[in-house]
Amino acid sequence: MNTQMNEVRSESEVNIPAFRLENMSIAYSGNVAVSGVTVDIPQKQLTALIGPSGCGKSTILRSLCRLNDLIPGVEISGRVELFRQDLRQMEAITVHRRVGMVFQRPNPFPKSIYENIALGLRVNGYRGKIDEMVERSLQQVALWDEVKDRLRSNALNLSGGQQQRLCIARALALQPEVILMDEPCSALDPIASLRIDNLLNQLKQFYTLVVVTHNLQQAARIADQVAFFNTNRAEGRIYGTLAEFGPVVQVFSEPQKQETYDYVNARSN
Amino acid sequence: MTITQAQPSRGSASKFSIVELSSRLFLGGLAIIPTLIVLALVGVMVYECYLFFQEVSFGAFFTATEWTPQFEENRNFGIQVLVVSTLIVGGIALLVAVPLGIVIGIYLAEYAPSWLRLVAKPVIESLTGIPTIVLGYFAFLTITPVIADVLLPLVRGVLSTVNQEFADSLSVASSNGLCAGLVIGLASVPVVSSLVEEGISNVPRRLREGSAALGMTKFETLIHILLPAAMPAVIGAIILVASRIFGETMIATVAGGAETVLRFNPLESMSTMAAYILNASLATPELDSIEFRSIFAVGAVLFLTTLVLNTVGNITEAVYRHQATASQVVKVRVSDNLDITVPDIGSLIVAGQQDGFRRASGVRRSFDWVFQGLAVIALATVAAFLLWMLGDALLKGYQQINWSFLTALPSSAREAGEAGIAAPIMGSLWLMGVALVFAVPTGVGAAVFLEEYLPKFRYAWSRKVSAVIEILISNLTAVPSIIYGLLGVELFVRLLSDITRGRTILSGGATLAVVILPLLIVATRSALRDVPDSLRRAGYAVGMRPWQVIFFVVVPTAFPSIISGIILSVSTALGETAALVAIGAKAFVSFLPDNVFQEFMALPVQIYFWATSSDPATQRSGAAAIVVLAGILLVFNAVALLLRSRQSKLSVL
Amino acid sequence: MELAQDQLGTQVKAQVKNFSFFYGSNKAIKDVDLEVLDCKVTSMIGPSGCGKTTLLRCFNRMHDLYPGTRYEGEILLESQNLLSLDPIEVRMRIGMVFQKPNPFPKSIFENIAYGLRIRGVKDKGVINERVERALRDAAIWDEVKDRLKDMAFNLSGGQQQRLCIARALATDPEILLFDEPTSALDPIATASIEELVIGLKGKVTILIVTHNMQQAVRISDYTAFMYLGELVEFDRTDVIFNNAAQQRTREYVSGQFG
Repeated sequence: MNTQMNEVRSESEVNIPAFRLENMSIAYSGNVAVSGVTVDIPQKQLTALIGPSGCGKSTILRSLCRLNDLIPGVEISGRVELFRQDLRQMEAITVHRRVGMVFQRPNPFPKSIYENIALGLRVNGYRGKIDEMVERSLQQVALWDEVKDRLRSNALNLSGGQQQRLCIARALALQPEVILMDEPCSALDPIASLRIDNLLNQLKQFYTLVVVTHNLQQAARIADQVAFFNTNRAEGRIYGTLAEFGPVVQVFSEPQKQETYDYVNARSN
Repeated sequence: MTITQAQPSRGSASKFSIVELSSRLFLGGLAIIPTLIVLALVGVMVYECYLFFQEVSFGAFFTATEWTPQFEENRNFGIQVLVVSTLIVGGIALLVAVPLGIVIGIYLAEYAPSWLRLVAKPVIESLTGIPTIVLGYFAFLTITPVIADVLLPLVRGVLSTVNQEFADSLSVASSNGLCAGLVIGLASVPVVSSLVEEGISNVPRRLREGSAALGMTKFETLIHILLPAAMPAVIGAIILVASRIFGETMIATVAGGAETVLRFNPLESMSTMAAYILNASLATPELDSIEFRSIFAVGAVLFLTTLVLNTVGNITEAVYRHQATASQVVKVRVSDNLDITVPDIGSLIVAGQQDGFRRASGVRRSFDWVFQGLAVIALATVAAFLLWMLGDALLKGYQQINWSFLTALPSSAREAGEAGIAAPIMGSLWLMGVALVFAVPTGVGAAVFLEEYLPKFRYAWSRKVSAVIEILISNLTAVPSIIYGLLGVELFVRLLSDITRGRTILSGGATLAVVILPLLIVATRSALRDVPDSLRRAGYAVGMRPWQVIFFVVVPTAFPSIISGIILSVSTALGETAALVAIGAKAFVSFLPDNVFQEFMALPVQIYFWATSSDPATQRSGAAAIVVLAGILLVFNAVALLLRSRQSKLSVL
Repeated sequence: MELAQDQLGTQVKAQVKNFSFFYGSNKAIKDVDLEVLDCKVTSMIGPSGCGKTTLLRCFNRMHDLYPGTRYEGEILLESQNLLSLDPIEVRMRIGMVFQKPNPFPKSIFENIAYGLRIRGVKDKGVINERVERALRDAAIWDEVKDRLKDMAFNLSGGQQQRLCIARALATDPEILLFDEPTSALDPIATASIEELVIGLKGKVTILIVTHNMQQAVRISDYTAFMYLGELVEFDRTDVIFNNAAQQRTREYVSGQFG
């Protein structure tokens, strides 16, 4: 058991990509949403997925942690690897623990702050001390000082920004390798989102982060790598493709493609 | 482009609009009627109980252990006799309905593949559309023999190895509490399952995604997140179904029996409160006799029971809705704390340490499979029950159905098996006509006022009044129809006898109108609520007044749903038996009615009389009548379904 | 907020004076002063929750539909305070186009004719003529002229939105309000709506809420930047985006927050 685990660990220390997507396409009940994506997402960096609405960036993100399993009628083709393992052959529960997810709107459970974090640990059979891990996770998102006196109060009483940090803490507690975020700041006020940005800048030293954002300024502030998805039209349907992938400086300053240039410059004045 | 600012045609836009005012007054007047019905119900019960307790002492009513109103001497009115029977029959029904309903509801909300949900939901819910007299007929003539001839020997065989004497003492009466309870329970499964399904489905998807993203299985999500969030809905469902079960009349009467004896053995005949009211009404006791008043005394107890249960259920439901909406509101408020720095957290991080967790085992998964297995068995039970019943009626009855069965008068039949159903069919049609004339304008108008005007007035009181009326109407929908029958007797047959001329079609139709009015209001309100608010805003934005928005935009958009609600109410009325028996529907009329002031027969009442006959040929006529009734209801429901699916296309807006 | 007097020749169509708006006790719009200029396009921008849509809906008294709302101050429409007028009259004078297209469940023709009928236009010839004119003004006439009896739902999203614009134009509104009119549309439909709005300049006074800053640059003459229920800055669009006076505005338009 332990040797197997160590194998996984040592493997992930070698510089292999966190995700490798090969010719991946996703369709909702026959309608292609995103098509032919091939990309390596490096580990221990923050990769931002940007593009106009309908380009499929959220769809891609959701299938990286197998959340599309919950939706009937979704078909995925091509290959997705998580640290060299075929993601779609793995057990969904395992994927969910290794790949955390933070959603667009904060979605704490209607339970106490403490319970929001402890629940995930308990169902997954955490061997350590739960109290300790709860505290540590809350400290990681800089929420501990704000809530330590009211861990038993309902999480829904927190402000939007605090709720979103709680949701990040909930994901961190499971000690994932990757954290995916779907427009994590779009429902927050400017101050709260700046605080999340700063948090992400710290977290990316330790975790692989993949963040969908519609806010190019945010992408420029936090990303190491940027994947730009664009919309295409065929027979009246709109679907997305990966137009450009590269380091943040390249995509924003010297994009290789005209469409990237147009998008980045039209939106960022 | 040719835009000209010339000649703006503003129209007259004075603050006062005569149409607006009169539409408000008229609809508001209609909206008072449900409240009046509640007052009338309470008034009738209080008045008759007052007279009853003039003659029978309170103490005797609650302590006596016999119920013998028919005796000339030594009359006893011990309500506990009826209460115990009601609790036994109701308890059995709850034991069936609650577990099956909860499991099925959860399964349909969370696990069922979409094709199965599409098939199973209408099948299960069609049980609520089947008139209870049909279920009673089936329980009495088909299930009871199965219990007596198949189940009883089996149980005896098993028990005899333990206690021979006890095993031999077991016997099943032809009417018994067990059978009534089982069938009432099965018939009530859809009430529980649809409320539970709704409660579970209403838990926001964000929470499901949140828990899935933490690695929880479906079953774990269900136990830790969904059920706690939906618990008040589940409890509300149990309470509401209990109130229905205790008021169920026709199954209890036909299958449960009429013996008013204090006993605890469900294998014997036992009369519930509702069954007593029906049986006593059948005897048409003299107005103002003590027997007549005893009906109302029992009615009052039943009415109070359902009222209390329904109120408790509503409160739980309201608490639930409050919580559910609270959990959907994300407080996007500006942080007070303007410090946006994040402390250095390097020392705290433990990324990717998977060995801190036990591996996901098959055990966690297996709960999902066990639960699904149970649910499929539950679903199959209910579906089998339904198919068995319909098949049984069809097999017994189809040979009887021919042209003369449909057109002959009962009187022309020499042989019992040759009676026709022309009179009951015509009677039912007349009753429907009268009921629709009274109920449709009232119900739709009241719903429009309650939904489109009242809660939107800018007065502080209007929301409170609207909430109170909402509770009143939901109570009205929960009142057993036999109670409406009693109201009809007092109000239409006695008080307004100058107009209705007693136990006539007019009285029966008016009573049916009272029965379906709350259903119509509820259905119409939900149809109006489905009209997207963006359409109302569009109407206002082009300068319409409220009445114009309502009659040009909202009602036309909701029209198919409103019609479908009307059709479903009519099918309820068509199957309604208990209220009509109380009003005094005849077992035998030798002419076809041609005006509303005649005495009448009705199709479901006819089924009741035939089902309880001891002659097998007559019983078969009952089955044939059931097939005819089911055929009519099927057509009605199909039309309603068609209209509703057209409507759902619109609401994709 | 008064504009510099370099806009001679342009008249003030509507004037918001010391205006506040309340949901219950929550002050959602705080002491706003704003001038809407005749026949110009004025856009309102700001992060979500800043009150731009709330302010827009005050102009046609949409908040009156919901209990617990209250206005304070004045919104003058050609020197009449529209907060003291009958809301129906206000809505007859000020048109509105919503975020999601919301045609009535009627034919294309009826969608437009309705607004005319409730204003007392009965002559069939006049109605026909004005329906056609509105559809032409909304640049949708050629696409629908052969199927005016079709249900409006059968149109595409972009066409539905142009139909809604035609519906508002048909009644010659003094001001036309747009609430993020393209947020539910794809890029191509968005472009056609923007073109349409630009074409209406000089003919109708337009007030538009948008979350897309680039859209504000493309179509509006004036821009108001709102934040936390306050009007931070109001000026010519080029000034707001290139040379804003307020620190907050500069930060917002350069994407440092929001």
